[in-house]
Amino acid sequence: MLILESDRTVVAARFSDAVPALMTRPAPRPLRVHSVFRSTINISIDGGLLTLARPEDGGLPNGILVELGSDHRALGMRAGMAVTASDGEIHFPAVHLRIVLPPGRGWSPLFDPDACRRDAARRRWLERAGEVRTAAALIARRRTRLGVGPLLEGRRLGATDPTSAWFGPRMIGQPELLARAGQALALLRLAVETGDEPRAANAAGRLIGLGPGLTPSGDDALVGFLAALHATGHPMAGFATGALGDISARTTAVAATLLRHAAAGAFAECVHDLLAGLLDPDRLTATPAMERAAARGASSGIDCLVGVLDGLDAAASGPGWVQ
Amino acid sequence: MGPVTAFARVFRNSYRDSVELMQIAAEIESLAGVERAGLVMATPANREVLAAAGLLSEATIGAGPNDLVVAVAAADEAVADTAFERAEDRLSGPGGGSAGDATQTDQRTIAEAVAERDACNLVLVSTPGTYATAEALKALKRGLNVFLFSDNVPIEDEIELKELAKAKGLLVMGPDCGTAILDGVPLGFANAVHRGSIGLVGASGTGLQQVSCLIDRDGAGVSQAIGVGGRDLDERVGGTMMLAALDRLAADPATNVIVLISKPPAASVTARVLAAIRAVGKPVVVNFLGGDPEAILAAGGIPAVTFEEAAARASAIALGRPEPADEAASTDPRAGEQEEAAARETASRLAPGQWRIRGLYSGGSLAGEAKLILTSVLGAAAAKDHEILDLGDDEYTVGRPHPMIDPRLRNEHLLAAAMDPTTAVILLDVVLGYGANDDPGGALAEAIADARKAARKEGRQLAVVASVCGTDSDPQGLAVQESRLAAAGVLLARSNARAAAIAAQIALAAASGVAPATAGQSGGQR
Repeated sequence: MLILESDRTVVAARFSDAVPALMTRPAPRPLRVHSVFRSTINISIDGGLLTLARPEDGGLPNGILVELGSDHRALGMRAGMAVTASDGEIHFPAVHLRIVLPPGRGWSPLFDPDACRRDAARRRWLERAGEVRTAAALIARRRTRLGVGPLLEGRRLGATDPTSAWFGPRMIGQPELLARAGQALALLRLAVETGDEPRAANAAGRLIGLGPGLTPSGDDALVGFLAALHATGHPMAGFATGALGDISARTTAVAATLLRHAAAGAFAECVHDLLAGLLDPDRLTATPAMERAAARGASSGIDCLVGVLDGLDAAASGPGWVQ
Repeated sequence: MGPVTAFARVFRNSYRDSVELMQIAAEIESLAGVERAGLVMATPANREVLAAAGLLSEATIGAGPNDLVVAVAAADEAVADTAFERAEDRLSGPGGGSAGDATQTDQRTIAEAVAERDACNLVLVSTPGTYATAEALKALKRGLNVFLFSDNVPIEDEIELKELAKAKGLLVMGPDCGTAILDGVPLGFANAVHRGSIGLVGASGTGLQQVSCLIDRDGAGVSQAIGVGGRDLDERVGGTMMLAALDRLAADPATNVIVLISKPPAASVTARVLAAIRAVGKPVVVNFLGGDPEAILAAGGIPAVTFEEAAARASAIALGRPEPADEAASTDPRAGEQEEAAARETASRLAPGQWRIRGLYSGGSLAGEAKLILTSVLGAAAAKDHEILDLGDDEYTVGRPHPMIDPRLRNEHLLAAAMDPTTAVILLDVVLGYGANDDPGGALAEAIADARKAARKEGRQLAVVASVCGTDSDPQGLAVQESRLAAAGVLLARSNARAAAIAAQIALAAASGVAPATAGQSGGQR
């Protein structure tokens, strides 16, 4: 374990624009470490999480990107450890570490209103959806059998496909996961295509907390679906705000935080990158963007991709995409 | 197994990623008396699924979405308690080993090293070939196993070393042995794979790497990976070390499944190895590239045509699945529906006259496997017109570093292949892990961009197909490397066999002048 004799100060590389306001409340704010992983450190704050991540992983809503070495677990931080946040600084006294925000404005996790909302983008998606799904299915199959990736293979494998895993070596929950997630996503697409908000909220509720992992697969897929609606400026993009109830009782704290941000239109930079790649005028950018997205987490990236593709299909099927 | 009951234990505020949870579940399921195990976060949705699987017990009442449930169907409570203790043990640490624990010492001879560490039982010899035999002999005489990385050791020396090792009950891994993972410690070129119950013995370095990485990706793990050197199954050496390694794995309680990897051995050696398989008493998957599956079946072994199939069959057995996870395990090396669709689409961009596959390989066994796949898909006569080079062969590496370490040699060949107007597909292997180049994907991506530019100047597009042999825990990171190649427009496959199959499909489509198929790409709207 690393034991530091005196405080080390590290200047963060970037931060999301909501972070300074969280830290400039009457200072110092006493907080606690929520969880520590190889690539992230989560701090409990205002019923959600403030996340410290590696610069190469890209911006996060409520996130600070900071270089703290290749494995954050080696820093000696533990869940429950005391942290104080004050104006532009987070202090971890037990491990003698201070993280300072750099000067300047933060990164915005909201979609640029003009980026993907034009009719041209919708036409591009309709033209390339088939080849994108072929490529996405290949990527998912290559990367992992976990999560809802097998849904990308469509009707051919369907909801009872025996090739994916959920929990345990015998994949006990897998047919259940794919059946439930597949049905919920189909319902969600239908709801968006028909402009039915109560049905959309019901379908979204079925995805919450469903599946393996720290961010259950259903939550990742829902985040992806919402991202597609927000990116395309769909009128139903805000349906999840207030409609999903107390998320924290239904999924993990990490997933609940991401879902709350997603409902409000805030997404990680990798999700922005994925949507930009899928709808770029150059169709060859789609596959590399999906490869980058798929590399996130054990199955989170693929799960999110499943939701994004379904969300784009739903948005493109109705009149909502074109303003 | 008789009747079982559902038991569960809740670990409050416990977070692990799903791959790690699946590996813990696999470990628990391997315990006697445990029928099924599952580890999930106790969200309401997941509790419903646990209930549907018959694994929801009273112990989970009160568990919340931030709590981890370890659920087992076990013969009795004592068995379940053992399972929970195992889970607790795995969940209590941060996961992964501590690389910083090793101490650096400065010994100049085997004797000094052994004096410093009395528990030492293995010597790694990596001297020039001329001195290697002497060092290996010293080690064997002291009762130490030998990992012989050196090449250019005469076969007579190899026979002498291996006979001595056999008499002393020791192993000589090599000469020219590139890969081993012993008790979780990687030696030579090896990948960071999870530990598990599959024992590997290979006369093929990159074959061992490919199989161990795919096992890791399938969610299973490796107990030991023992390289024996490329000549071990030669008639003169007699497979001495493959047989010795097989004996060790047969006796190893941590190994439940064994995989043997080699080119087809000499006939007399094959008979000896097959006889040994019969006596092992554990499932043995045999991948003798291009070997006779009937003979292996007759000996009670499980034949596997490709490295991917070997990994899939072993993983399925280790994880208690009735069949391998998907068509990875199929003995039909043709690409699947989606690979075919991608191949047709790629072929449609090629110019008339582009028909040839040029395989530029850094791994010899991977090159051998690619040749086999091309022969199988295209037919022996047509396959001969294509070119698969093993750039790690001595012919290319005299006075130059191996292409797994230094990408320059392959990059030169890549540019030359791009300039040839008949080249349709460039087929590549990218090998990650300890010992390999720090950023092989990045180096290749630049070279591919140059090659494409050169071809474009002459009005041609190039198809580039590759597979990355590695894991996310490797120093270079599988996902990072795949992203770099994908960004360079490389069509990536899960395994070398599939990459070769895709290349073959592109060549077939290019040869028949197939227009872009629409049938395979119309699945967008479900």
